[in-house]
Amino acid sequence: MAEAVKALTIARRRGMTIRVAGESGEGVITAGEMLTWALARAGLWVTTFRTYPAEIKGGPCMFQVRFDRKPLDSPTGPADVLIAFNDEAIALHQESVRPGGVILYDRHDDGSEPEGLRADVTARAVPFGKVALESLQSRLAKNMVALGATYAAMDLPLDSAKEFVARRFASKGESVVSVNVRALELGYELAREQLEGLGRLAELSEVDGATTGAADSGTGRMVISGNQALSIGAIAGGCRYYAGYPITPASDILELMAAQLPAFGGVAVQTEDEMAALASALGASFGGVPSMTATSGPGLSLMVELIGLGVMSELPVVVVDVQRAGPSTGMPTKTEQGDLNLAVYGGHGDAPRIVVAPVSVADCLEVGRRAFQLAGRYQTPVIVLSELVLAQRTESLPVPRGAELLLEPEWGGTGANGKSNGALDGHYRRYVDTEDGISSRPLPGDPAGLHVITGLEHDEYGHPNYEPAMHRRMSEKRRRKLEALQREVEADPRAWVARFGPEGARIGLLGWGSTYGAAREAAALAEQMGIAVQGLWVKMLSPLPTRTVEAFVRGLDVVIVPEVNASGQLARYLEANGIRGRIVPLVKYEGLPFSAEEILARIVEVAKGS
Amino acid sequence: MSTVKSSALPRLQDGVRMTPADYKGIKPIWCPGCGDYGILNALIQVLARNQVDPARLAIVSGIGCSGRFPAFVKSYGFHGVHGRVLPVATGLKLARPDMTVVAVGGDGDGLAIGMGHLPHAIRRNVDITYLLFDNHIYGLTKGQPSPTTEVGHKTHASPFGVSEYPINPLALALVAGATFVARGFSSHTRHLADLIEAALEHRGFSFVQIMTPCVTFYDTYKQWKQQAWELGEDHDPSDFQAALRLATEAEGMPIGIFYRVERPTLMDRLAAGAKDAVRLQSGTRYDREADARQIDALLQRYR
Repeated sequence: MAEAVKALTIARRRGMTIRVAGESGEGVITAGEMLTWALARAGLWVTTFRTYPAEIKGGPCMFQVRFDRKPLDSPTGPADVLIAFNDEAIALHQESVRPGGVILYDRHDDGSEPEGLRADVTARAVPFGKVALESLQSRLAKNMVALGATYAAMDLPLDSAKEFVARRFASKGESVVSVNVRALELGYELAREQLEGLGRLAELSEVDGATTGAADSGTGRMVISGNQALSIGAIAGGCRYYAGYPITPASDILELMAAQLPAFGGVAVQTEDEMAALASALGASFGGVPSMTATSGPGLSLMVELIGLGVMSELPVVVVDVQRAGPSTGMPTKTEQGDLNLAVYGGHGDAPRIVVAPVSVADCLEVGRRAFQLAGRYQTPVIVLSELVLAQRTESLPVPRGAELLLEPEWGGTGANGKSNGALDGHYRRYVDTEDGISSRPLPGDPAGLHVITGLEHDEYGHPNYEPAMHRRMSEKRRRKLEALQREVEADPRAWVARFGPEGARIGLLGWGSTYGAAREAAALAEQMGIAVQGLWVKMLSPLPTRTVEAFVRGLDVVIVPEVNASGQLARYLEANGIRGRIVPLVKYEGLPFSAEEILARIVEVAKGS
Repeated sequence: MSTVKSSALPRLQDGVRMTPADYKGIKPIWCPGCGDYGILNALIQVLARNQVDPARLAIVSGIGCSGRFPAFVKSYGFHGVHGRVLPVATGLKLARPDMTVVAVGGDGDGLAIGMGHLPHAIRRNVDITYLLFDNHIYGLTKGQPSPTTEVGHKTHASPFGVSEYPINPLALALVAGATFVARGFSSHTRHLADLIEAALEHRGFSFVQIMTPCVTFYDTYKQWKQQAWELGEDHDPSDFQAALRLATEAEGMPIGIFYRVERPTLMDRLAAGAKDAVRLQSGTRYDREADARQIDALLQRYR
């Protein structure tokens, strides 16, 4: 059974996948990024996946780029070509090469062959390292030699690779650029001579429609990572204050914001810890400036008390959690969807907050900008649950227009939320109770709006008040805001759920976050096997649009819930929200994302079994 | 004491006048006789004599007896969580450079749970005033020792006497690089008001340790009244070594400005470092056209 699924996945798989593997420090990531960029420039749609060690130097690392003439859902799955920089890379990654695929590996200087090479793939030794050392006096340039060879084998023009090298190494000087360009050319020539008769790469790319000749120019697209998209989305959504503490895999958000915010009149600071980051973001928010912090799991744990403060004092703020694997410091460079419970429930007392989760790189841009509108409108923290694989994955996307991206964050001030001024006796009723729980929020500087906000339970003025009826009333006010948002989402769920597959299907896939791509691909493959599957990916996790989810589940015989965590956090959350149906959790907790094949295998099992 | 007037404090419009009573917020809930009343009165005096615009004043607090302070002054206020007052104040000031930001917190709030933030707020030299209400005890939790309680002092939580040496907040602020370091005493209200005024007018991080006795759990009135003495003209506040000696070796309890020096603030440095300093402003004034152009330029980097 599993073999049949595998064969089908490979046979029907769209596009082509090249995996570059080696030791950290051998230029694997640079080679992968270059290939990605060059392919995108050549007019192909690309999506990437990488794994790397937590050590600064050393340890195995891998970069995979998948490309096609049409946009792809997921970067994972078997490789058509493996470029291995050393023997360990062959040992670790040759299993991921599809039967009939190609392995290009670095020839040993003594001419010996690596052990245990698979028989059902075409393996060719090319002396990447030797050529680099002999011709360029630097073994480090072997990644460029290997890339040059790949370009030759795929009949890709070298120009785009040269352009990338010129851009990437511009700051390192002319000589570095010319050495790398020369390495590319040597690899290209080498492959022309030595790979003659191989023909596999070109053939593969031909079969899969991935040659570049007929594709469009690709210049209308950019190649961008989830973290970059999220950051740019945040700026477009109005973010003008950013505070963060470095943590993998969220640090590049801090780096991007620090570099870019000043040009937008904003400020970014690196704080002494995560509590300071969120506390200062709340301070900026109080001042009326849309603010954000980004962290990963361990940092979110530290911020939990301040999220409660944001909820209680009704301050908008955006908190990005780029999830990584495991409790404690866990696996900083591995992926997981393990923070749903923390994001939704984390903290003491009842602290209803908004939790959203993008499903793709494009969605990171979209969720990044709309998170500010949500936070501002509902005056509460918004937690954006991203994931390592989304954060680091690069994708080619059409370049949007800046003017179309800009959103009004509605971060308080005169006429905020269209609510009337609650001033009375010179005291402003900052927490005036309303039907939807949303009060007007004057900003410091407004003489008519003087008020004090507090993390203590309080009355409408913000004065501390512990009376039973007051706690009840204010608890309801805070919850009512989320109910208002829930109604808004249910009324038009398109913005906050992603659907795929035919409506009549009896088998369903339900999930959140990055599993979307692999699930969509799995559903498409299942359809080719004659199994109809429909999917629903929920981007608004708190408040959960229960009616929409319920309606989806009710129409199905069985619902598979794939999640990258051990306990099935979404499946349990659905149950806690009263969603009833035949829900089959499908969990993976290896620090790696799902492939379409893995989800397809479960779909097939369920289809046979039910 | 020299009181160099500057235009740093936001003034009320001409024609509007506020009396000290007008600056009062809700009625304080402190124990009768609490030193904190002296601090409140001193601040209100400063506000009234400078006719400070309450709309452009924000008081930020953490948790403890001092935490309620913002509600007792007519201004914008933010009563947050334990120990995080300085980051909140920093974010507010960076976001709103037009606001005068005063952070208040006790010795527990600022020197225990929030201690990690103090040297960082100091080294950033963010333009805020930090009033550290120091009573050498945890008042609101009913009398446990604080980081400034003397060795050997017995409380319910230190039945054999406090085992740890106290922190010296002034020495700490000085070696961390604070540009304004002072100590006041809540019983010397007029002197304290002058200190607070100088601190508010100082451009940069102003650290003011205010000795404020807790009448309920650790009554130090008598002792501190005997120990307090005001620094005179013979102390030069620009002399760092003299300030450090005073903070570590002086007999009794000197009060006044220990150290004062001008240095660029965090916002100055950020503005100087950013290439497009013209637009670095915060306070969120959006310019749709400029922002759209800037986003387009940013997106071009990924082409």
